[in-house]
Amino acid sequence: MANVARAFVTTDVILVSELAAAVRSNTAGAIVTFSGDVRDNDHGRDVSSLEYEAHPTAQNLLEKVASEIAARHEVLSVAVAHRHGPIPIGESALVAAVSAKHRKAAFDACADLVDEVKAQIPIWKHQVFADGTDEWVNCA
Amino acid sequence: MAVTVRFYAAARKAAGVTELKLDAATAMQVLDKAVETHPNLAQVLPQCSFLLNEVALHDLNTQVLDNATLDVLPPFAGG
Repeated sequence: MANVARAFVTTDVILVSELAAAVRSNTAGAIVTFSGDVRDNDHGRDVSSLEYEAHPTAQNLLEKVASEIAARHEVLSVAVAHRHGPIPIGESALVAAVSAKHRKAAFDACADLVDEVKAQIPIWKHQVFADGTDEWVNCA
Repeated sequence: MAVTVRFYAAARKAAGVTELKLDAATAMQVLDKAVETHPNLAQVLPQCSFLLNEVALHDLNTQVLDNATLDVLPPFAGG
């Protein structure tokens, strides 16, 4: 049974190396990490700043999603973190790390984890464009 | 029943306020009353999901108890 090494929301910088270290073990032959970074463009428009808002239940739901991923894949350890508040261009908004004995399970579980976080966690993205207009993403 | 409605992200922008306190018997009544006084909500509510006391709400005809909290959540956009 895989364990959840870390699952948290934070307003601080998230380091990929920190989550990778959290899932590392001598029984693991593979560690797959993902970093979802803040882009300076969206749909061909220049993004000048970006901010995420998290619902108060986001922490508990992130723990739940991480546990589900750990239970349904042949992996050893899972870690995931989502940042909220203002995030500078180029920094990580979502970081995931998964360790497994073999690479395929780690790749599959990491991709599944990211998909589930995007689908299930009540977090919203607000972006301001270079022309001064702004939008809440996914809510036209 | 006295209910607090909390708006997040695009729903807060549409409402123009973070929360409303109003009197209603069902979740649907809560939303109808909110739209009456804050009509821009009508554009985002069809896309939203809801939490009643922080638990997912699947039936808007659910009765609300006194001092309940109804959260209005626009489509998620994490990651």
